[in-house]
Amino acid sequence: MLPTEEELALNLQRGDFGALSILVEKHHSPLIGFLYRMTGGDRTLAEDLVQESFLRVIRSIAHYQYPRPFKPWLYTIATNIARDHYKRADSRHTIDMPDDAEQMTPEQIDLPEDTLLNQDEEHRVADAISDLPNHQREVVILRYYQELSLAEIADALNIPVGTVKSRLSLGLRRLKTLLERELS
Amino acid sequence: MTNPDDKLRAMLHEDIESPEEADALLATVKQMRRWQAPDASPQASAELLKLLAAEMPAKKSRLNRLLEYWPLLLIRSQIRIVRGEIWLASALVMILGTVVTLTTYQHSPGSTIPLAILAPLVAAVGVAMLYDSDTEPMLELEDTTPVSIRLLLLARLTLVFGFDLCLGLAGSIVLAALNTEISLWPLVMSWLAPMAFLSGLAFLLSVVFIDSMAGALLSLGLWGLHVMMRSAQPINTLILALSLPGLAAPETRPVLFGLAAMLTGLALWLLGRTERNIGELA
Repeated sequence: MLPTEEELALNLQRGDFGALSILVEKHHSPLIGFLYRMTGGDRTLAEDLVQESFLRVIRSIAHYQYPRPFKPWLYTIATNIARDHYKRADSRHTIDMPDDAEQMTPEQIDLPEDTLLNQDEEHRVADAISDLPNHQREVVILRYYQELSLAEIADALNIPVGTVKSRLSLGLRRLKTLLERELS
Repeated sequence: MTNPDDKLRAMLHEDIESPEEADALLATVKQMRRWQAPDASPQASAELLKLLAAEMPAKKSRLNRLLEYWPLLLIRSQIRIVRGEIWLASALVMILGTVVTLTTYQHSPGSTIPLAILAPLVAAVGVAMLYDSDTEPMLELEDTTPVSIRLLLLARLTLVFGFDLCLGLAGSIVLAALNTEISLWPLVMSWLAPMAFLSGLAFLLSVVFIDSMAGALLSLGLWGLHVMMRSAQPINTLILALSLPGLAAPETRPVLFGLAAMLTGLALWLLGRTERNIGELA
C-alpha cells in the first residue's frame, strides 16, 4: 500500500529524501497553478514562490505534527509565501496582466483566431480574479482551481468553515459582476 | 461524478446557501476555470529537487530521534544542574557496598546483604539533596520558564533515582555472578521496594521542610532504626512501630511501591502550592 501524504511528511521529518521527491512530484504542478493565479498569471514569479514554498516546507518540517493533513499545511505555507511576497514588494494585490498588444510575440500574431480569443478570455478572467480582495481571491482559487474541500481551506487559512463559505459567496458574486463588466 | 459541470454544481451547492444563486454562479465558475495555468515540466521538478536536496536536514538514526524526544531532552538538560557530589558519593558507596558484600557476606538464615542496606540509603539521601533552601530561589527563577518547576524536579528525581537504580542493579549483577549463594532477582527485590519508598519519603520531607538535611536525616534514621530492630530485641512497642517492621518484607513490596508513587505525587503537588518567601529563606 502506498504511503499517505501524512506518512510521507513524517518520513521527510526523519530526513527521507525519497518522501520529499514523491511530495514534490505530486504537488509541484498544483502549487505552480495556485501561485500563478495568486500572482495574476506571472509564471516566473510563481515558480520562484513555489521553490520558496518547498524550501520552507523543509525548514519547517520539524514543526509538522503527524497526522495533521499535509495538503492544508502545504497550502498554509504557500499562501503565507504569497502574502509575504506582496508585503515585501509593497505592491497592491493586483498585478497588471501584460498588455495584449505589447506582449504579443510574432508567433502569437500568427495564431488562429479562436486561440487568440481564448487568450483574451483568460486575460479577462485573470484581471477579474486579480481585482478580488486578497481574502476572497485566496478562497476562490483554493476552492475552484485547487479543488480543496471547505474543511481543508478552513484548516489552511486557519479560519472557520462558515467564514470560508461567506468569502466564497461574496467572492463569486463579485467575480460575476467583474466579468460581466469586462465583457460589456 | 464524471461530468465536470455536475462536479462544479455540487461544489457550488455546498458553498452557497441559496440553490438558485448557486445555479446562477455556475456559468461564472465555468468561465473562470478556462484560465489555464502552466504545468511543471519534469526538468523543472528535477531542478527543484536538486536545489531542495542541498537543504535537506541530516537523516536521523532511531537512537538520535529517541534522544531528541522531549522528556529525554529535559532529563539530559538537568544532568549539569544536579550537584556533582551526588553522583560521586552514590557511586562510591554503592561500590563499597558491593565490595563489602563480596568479601564478608556468608549466607545464613536472617542474614542481610550489605548492598541491600546501602542501596535504599544512597538513593534516599541523593533524592533529598535535590531540593533545599539553596535550590529554592533558583527554582523561583526557573518558574518563569515554559517548563514548570514540578516537571524540572521530576526530571531531576528521575535522573538521580535512575542513576542509583542502575548502580544497585550493576552491584547486584556483580554479586550474583561472583557469589553462588546470592540470587539476582530476590536480591534486587530486597532493596528496590525500600529504595523507592525511602526516596519518595525523603523527597516529600525535603519539600515540606525546604531542607534537604531534614529529608535525608529522617529517612536515614527511619531506615537505620528498621535495620537495627530487625536483629535486636524491641525495647518497647513504640520503637518497634517506628522501625516499620514490614519495610523489607516481600509481602509489603506492592504497598511500598504504591506509597512511593503517592509520596512523590504529593511532593510535586506541594511544590506548586507552597507559599515561597525568598527573603526569609535568604
